[in-house]
Amino acid sequence: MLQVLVTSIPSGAIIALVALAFAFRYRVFAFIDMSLPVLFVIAPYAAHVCIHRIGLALGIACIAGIAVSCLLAVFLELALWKNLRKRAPATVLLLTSLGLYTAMMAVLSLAFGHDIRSLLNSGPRPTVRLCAVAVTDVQILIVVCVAAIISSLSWAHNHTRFGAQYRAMANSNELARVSGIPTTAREMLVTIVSALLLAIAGILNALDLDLDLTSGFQPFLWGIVAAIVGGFRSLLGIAACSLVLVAGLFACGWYAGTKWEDSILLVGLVLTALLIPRPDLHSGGKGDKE
Amino acid sequence: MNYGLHIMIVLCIYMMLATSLNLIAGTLGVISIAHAAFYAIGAYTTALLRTQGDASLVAVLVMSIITAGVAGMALAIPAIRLRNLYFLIGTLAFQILIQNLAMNWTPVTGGAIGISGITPGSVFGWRPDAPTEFLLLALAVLLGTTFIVYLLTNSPAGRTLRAMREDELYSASRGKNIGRYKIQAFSIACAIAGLAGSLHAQYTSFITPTGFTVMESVFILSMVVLGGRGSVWGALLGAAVLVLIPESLRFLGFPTAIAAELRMLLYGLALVACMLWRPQGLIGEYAFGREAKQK
Repeated sequence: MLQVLVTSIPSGAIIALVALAFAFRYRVFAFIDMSLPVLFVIAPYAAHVCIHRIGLALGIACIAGIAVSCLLAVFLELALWKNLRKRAPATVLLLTSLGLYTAMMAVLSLAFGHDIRSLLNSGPRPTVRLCAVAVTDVQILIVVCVAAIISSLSWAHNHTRFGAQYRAMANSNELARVSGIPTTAREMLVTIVSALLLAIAGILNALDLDLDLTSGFQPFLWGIVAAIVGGFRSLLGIAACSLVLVAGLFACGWYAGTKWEDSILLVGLVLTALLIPRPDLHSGGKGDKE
Repeated sequence: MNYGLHIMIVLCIYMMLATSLNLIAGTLGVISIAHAAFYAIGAYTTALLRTQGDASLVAVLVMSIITAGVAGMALAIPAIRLRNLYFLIGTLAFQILIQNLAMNWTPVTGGAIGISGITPGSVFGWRPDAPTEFLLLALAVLLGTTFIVYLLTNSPAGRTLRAMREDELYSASRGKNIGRYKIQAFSIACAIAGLAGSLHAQYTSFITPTGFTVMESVFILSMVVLGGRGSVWGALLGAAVLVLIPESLRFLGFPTAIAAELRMLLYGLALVACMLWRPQGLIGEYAFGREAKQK
């Protein structure tokens, strides 16, 4: 059981990054972007291409993968979201993102097929034993990287000029624009930060586990749950909630079988949504910008 | 000949799914991506009734309607408390829950292997075994359900649903029981999806969880959005376009291996294009795009 809980920490850390990426974007743009899992998946696939077809070293390939994911996000922002957000309500944006996800996954599927791939050489990873618990080097890397990223993001959110502008935009984009904040430039920055988080999460996930095209949707779903339950306003709250959520799921999976993890999670989400009185969740609140 | 009949039967089933989802997404104005779950509930109910016993055609159709309708009501009662986008997340959760049950509750659902050997039930000694006979049955059920949905959307209850879509607070202030109307509309739509699932199971004689995924729900939603939300004819047109156009890819010489991906690409692009240039759909009455924002 202790091993299960320790193993849940790197998985929870990856979910935390996904949840933060989702929440970071949602707070400013106020719609659920269902195309985000593509940014999670495309980074490791691009890295895989760089390693196996171009022959780049792992580190450089990972950076290239992250760059590809960010470029795709910037392209979509410029070509699609920037204009569509000005004229369409959240429902249209959501449906567009759903179509975009379907189309881009089909393109990825055509390009890469459904074979399971691996960024690292297959075979057991070197492990470190900590108090009767075995941890791989990749898992340690994930925890260290995610802790550093969340600390930096939280600091930037609370103590920098960009953080203040971001918080102003999250409260009211229109008011922020009238107040002289360059909202268009900041929206692009939010897009890039969100894509960066997703790409890093995708790369770290692919280093720890095998890589397949469907690997983006489940972390995204878990990330949404963590963001909703943790509360969108607190970055550290979202991160802590992700860790607790995944630890709880792994513990449930340990007793009930891993195949029921998603079911337990979703029943938990619905119960949370129904039992916790939150104005942004329920009818009659102020959260709906549509 | 058989290929043409097969396409017609599949089209009838998807038209039923699209018209029923249109009641939720179009007339009521909330987006659900759990429709494939109710389709699955109907299909699995029929599969169990037909493989574990020899239930008649009427019995399996009625039981599929009841189970999917009750499941829809069970989801709607808590979910109507959630706001628009969270309602969608709630329906997504239900969809994945049903998908997980179908995949993992092996003693009942057969797990990933699914249930095979489902034969059509009989009524008064008539069993729709042949494709022509099954097409007649599917057409009759499609006409019946479309007529019911058409009557419902043009009845006082339908007008109330549309009024709720436009302004929920105003409808409530007029003394309308919003919650009850929402639950009723949702349950009816889910019951029709269950009926479509029953026809699907009896026609294909074999069901697996892969036929009822989130993507299937997105596919059905694409039909409603493309055809036009709020319009019964729009839902029928959307289903026809999205079933028939991808079928034409078969005749363009694409390998079978990539046909499924091309189909998904087409659905995705159709949804994006529709949202960009014609948010009200091909013949829809309800614009969620620029027009809606200008109101």
